[in-house]
Amino acid sequence: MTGTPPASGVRRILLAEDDPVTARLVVHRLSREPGITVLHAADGGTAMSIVEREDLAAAILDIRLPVLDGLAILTALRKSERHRGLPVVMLTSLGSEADVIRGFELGADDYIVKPFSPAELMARLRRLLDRE
Amino acid sequence: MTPPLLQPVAPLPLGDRGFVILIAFIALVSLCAAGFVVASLLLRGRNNAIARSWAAFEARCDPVMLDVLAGVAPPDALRAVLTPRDDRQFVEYLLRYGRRIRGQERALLGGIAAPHLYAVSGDLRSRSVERRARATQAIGELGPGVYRAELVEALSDPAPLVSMVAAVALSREYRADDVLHVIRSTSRLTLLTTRLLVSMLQRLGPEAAWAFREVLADGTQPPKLRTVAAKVLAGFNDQAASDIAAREVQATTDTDLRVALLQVLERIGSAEHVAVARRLATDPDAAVRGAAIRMIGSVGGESDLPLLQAALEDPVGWVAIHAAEGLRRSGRSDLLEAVVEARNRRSSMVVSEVLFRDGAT
Repeated sequence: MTGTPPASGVRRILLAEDDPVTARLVVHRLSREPGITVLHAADGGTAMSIVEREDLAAAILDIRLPVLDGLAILTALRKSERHRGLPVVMLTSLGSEADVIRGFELGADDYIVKPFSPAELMARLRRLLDRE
Repeated sequence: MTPPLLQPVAPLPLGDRGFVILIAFIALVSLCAAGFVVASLLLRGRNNAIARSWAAFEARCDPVMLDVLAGVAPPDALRAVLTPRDDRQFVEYLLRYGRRIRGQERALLGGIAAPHLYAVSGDLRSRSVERRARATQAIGELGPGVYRAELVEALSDPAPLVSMVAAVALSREYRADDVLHVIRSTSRLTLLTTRLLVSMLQRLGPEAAWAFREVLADGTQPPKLRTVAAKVLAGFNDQAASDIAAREVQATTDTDLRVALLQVLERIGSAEHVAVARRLATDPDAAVRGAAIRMIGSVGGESDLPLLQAALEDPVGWVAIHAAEGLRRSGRSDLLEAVVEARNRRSSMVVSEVLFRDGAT
């Protein structure tokens, strides 16, 4: 699976984020874009079940998540035949440079540091989707 | 004959007075237990009511707020969902977003908050430390520009908590007129670790380096503050700090400060500063000795090799490790190999550790 829109023309973006306020901000910002649907998971387990069930166009993964962290989800994505090339943006906290390096080693396409600008996140995601 | 199932209970060895005291004690315990139950039910009810109020407030504001932050609705649209009584709660609500966003949305949030901050700014004079801290946090997050003077004043608050919140807010942005005051006030934050203070003050950026140099050069300032200043300047790679560090490391007796100053020299010092480190390479304090050896290993030259070789025999293992690392960096692994081959030497294990670390030879 890559960023190519499915036949319906809707691109499904997975957002794995446990903070409800951040999730609301991102879901609202992304959902305003035509042709984008956001699938929100508040923990790593739910995120994995979405990964297994849905055809995704991209994923935004918070690194610190309950049940399964963002890096573990990224590892699973890169091992899966279906989502190997899926564009992935990692959300990290300020001062978590080690997590950023680990994320890139595991195949993340981009990262954004919290606190962040939702508009900037959208711009980076759009760039990745366009590249696909 | 089988014994009766119910044995008569022996009377308690209490007189009438003892019995009354026992009953009174049981009644008191029961009353306390009932009191606790009622108090916890009331507390729970109050918390549930607050949660419901917040949920209702968020449900009312969120749709508009998210549209405003996304730029599809004007900030004035929020007026339609707010009443003047909502000001205080609205500031709390904005704080939730303020901590999570930056960039254009953050600037927008500051503009939205400005007309409502009066509702909490009065709490800056409250007798409650918690209220003062909360108000300082709110204006620090949402209106640091407008309330700059109040934040600077809060640095001198008798409560360290309020002072800390103000310092955190002010350290987000460099302002020449109050930067020295901000830095000096952090010496009151004795509960914070040096690392945390360094991390906080580094956010002022290299343009504040002059103020940190001033603190570093001022022997009347507390050693912990000067240590923080040294570490911040090392982080800025501030070349101008190296001469100050070389001078002050000889003038102070505080171990942490001397180590921090040697670290400044290690990072940004030059060959002319090595002489200072050489004098400290035999200091009785192992922490200072180690930092001096490390500095010499980084900045020293060919003439320092004998000193580093001698430090391999230092009674403190990690001083010897710094010496071995210095020799390895100088490209003299052959000297280390000679130590390893002479297995009878005490330092051979330490040297092996450095020599063969990461596959180096």
